[in-house]
Order: sequence, then structure tokens, then C-alpha cells
Amino acid sequence: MTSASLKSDTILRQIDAHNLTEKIVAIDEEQICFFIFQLGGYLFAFGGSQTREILPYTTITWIPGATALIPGVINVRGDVAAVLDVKQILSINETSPKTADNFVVMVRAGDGRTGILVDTIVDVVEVPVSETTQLLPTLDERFKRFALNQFEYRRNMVTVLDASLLIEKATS
Amino acid sequence: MVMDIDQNELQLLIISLGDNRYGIDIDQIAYLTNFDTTESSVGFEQLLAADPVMNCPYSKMLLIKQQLQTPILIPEPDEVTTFQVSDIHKLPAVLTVASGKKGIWGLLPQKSGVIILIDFYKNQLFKRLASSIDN
Repeated sequence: MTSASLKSDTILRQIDAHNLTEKIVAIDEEQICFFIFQLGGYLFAFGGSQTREILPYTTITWIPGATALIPGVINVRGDVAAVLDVKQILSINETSPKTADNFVVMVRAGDGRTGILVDTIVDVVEVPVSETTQLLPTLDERFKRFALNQFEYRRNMVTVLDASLLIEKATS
Repeated sequence: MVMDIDQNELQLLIISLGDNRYGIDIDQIAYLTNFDTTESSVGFEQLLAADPVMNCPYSKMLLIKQQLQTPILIPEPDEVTTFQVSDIHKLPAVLTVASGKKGIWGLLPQKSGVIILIDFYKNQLFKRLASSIDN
């Protein structure tokens, strides 16, 4: 019993080795950072590379000529950024009053002076590439043309949006 | 009005309409007179296609250089102030086309909100009204 390994020790070593292998796989696999936010009853995300900064809701100044998709501009530390109402772009009719609970997500797309108005910030997560999926056929038609892919977050599907496409729509 | 020489300062007539403040280059203004409705006058909020401000208290009339035939009705101006040109910001790209048609050409961030700069020579409705009177 002393010279030979105990079976239980062997099994434990096997488990350790297996866990180590799993960890190595997890480290090796490319992770993508996503910033998850809520619009109405839906969860959306921007890739971390498209998100520059999150700002608390502040007074929006309406600019003549702006469409309903662009409620106006905000003062960002002495610079000016346009704010997009993504709910309007995505035809989400659930209106919620703009309150201090809202946020403006500054995105890197376009001229870098565009913010996206969101209802609530949910989380920032790192997702392995293998866990992102192509767009599911069940995805709402309204969102398809602005969506890149999807992933699961706490048993809910999150749709990853392309900020460039949203800006393009607001400009057209 | 074409300006070839760089300048550091811009003197603006500031007027408020609803919650917004607008800045008009003093150099564009020929006269600022008391309110007097004429057939050819146009309300400032019409030029901007803004939501009509209830009981907009027009009290003055702006006559723009070279377009004297189309007076613009405005509320009592807030002030005339000089700003540094370096403080003026261009419109964010998503607004350039749509707001450019209204003559909006720049923004001046303030402690609260921004002053919206308007160039009447670039406002499409103003240009159309002025040219129709010319004809």
C-alpha cells in the first residue's frame, strides 16, 4: 500500500491534470469583452473595442434639423457629442422617461463624437469566442440588420450591435 | 459674406428660444429693430423648423445684410458676447448634413448646455424666401 499509489491519489492527480488542461484551454481561447445594456425589455451589447466611455445621463440639447433618431447633443467635458436614440432606430416602442438612471455610451465608431442613449447598464463580461453564435433565426427582424452576433448571458440571449451601422442609419 | 482673414474672436448676438440658446454672428446683422410684422417677415423658429414655442414673444426684427427684404422675427435678445473662435466646435458628423441645411454650423459648449451657431446665409428656407422675393 505504501509503495504503490493509492487509487484515490491517482484519481485526484488525474482530476488535477484534467483541470489544468481545461484551464490552459480557457486561457488560450480568445475572449471578447462585451458591454451589456438594456433597451426596453431587450438585452444588447457592444464589443468592448467599440465602447469608449460610459457617461451618466445629462441634459440633451436639441439641434435644429436633427431627426427623431438624434435627440440632440451633450457637452462632454467641453467637447460636443451627438446622442442617438437607439430605441427609435431599432423600432422599440417601449418608451421610458429619460431619467438619471439612463446612460450615454460613447462609441468609437464614426467620428468618435457619438453617444448611444441606453436605459440601463447591465454588465461588462468577457465571453470566449466559441460562445458567441451566429444570429439565431428567431432574432427579431427589427434588430437583424444592426446585429453582429449573439451570446448567452444568464439564460438570456444578448444581441451584439454594430455601432457603425446604427450611426449609418441615423445619418441616412 | 466671405471672410478670408483668420480671426480669433467672434461677436455673437445670443437669443433664447425654448430651452435652446442660439448665436448669430453680429457681422451678418444689418439692423436690429423693434417688432413690426410685414408680409415678408419670417419667424426665427420657422427657419429652424423647431416646435412652435407657445406664445413666442417676438419683440425684435433682424435685418440680415444683403437680405434686407426678409426680416427675421426674434424674441428679445439675451446679450451680445464675444467668444474665442478656438472654443467653437464643429457639428458631430451625424448632424452635419441635416442640421447644416438649417444653417447650423457650429456649437459653443457652455457650463450648462451649448450655444447653437446659425448662419442665415446657409439656412435653406431663408435662402428660398429671400430669392422668391427677389424674383
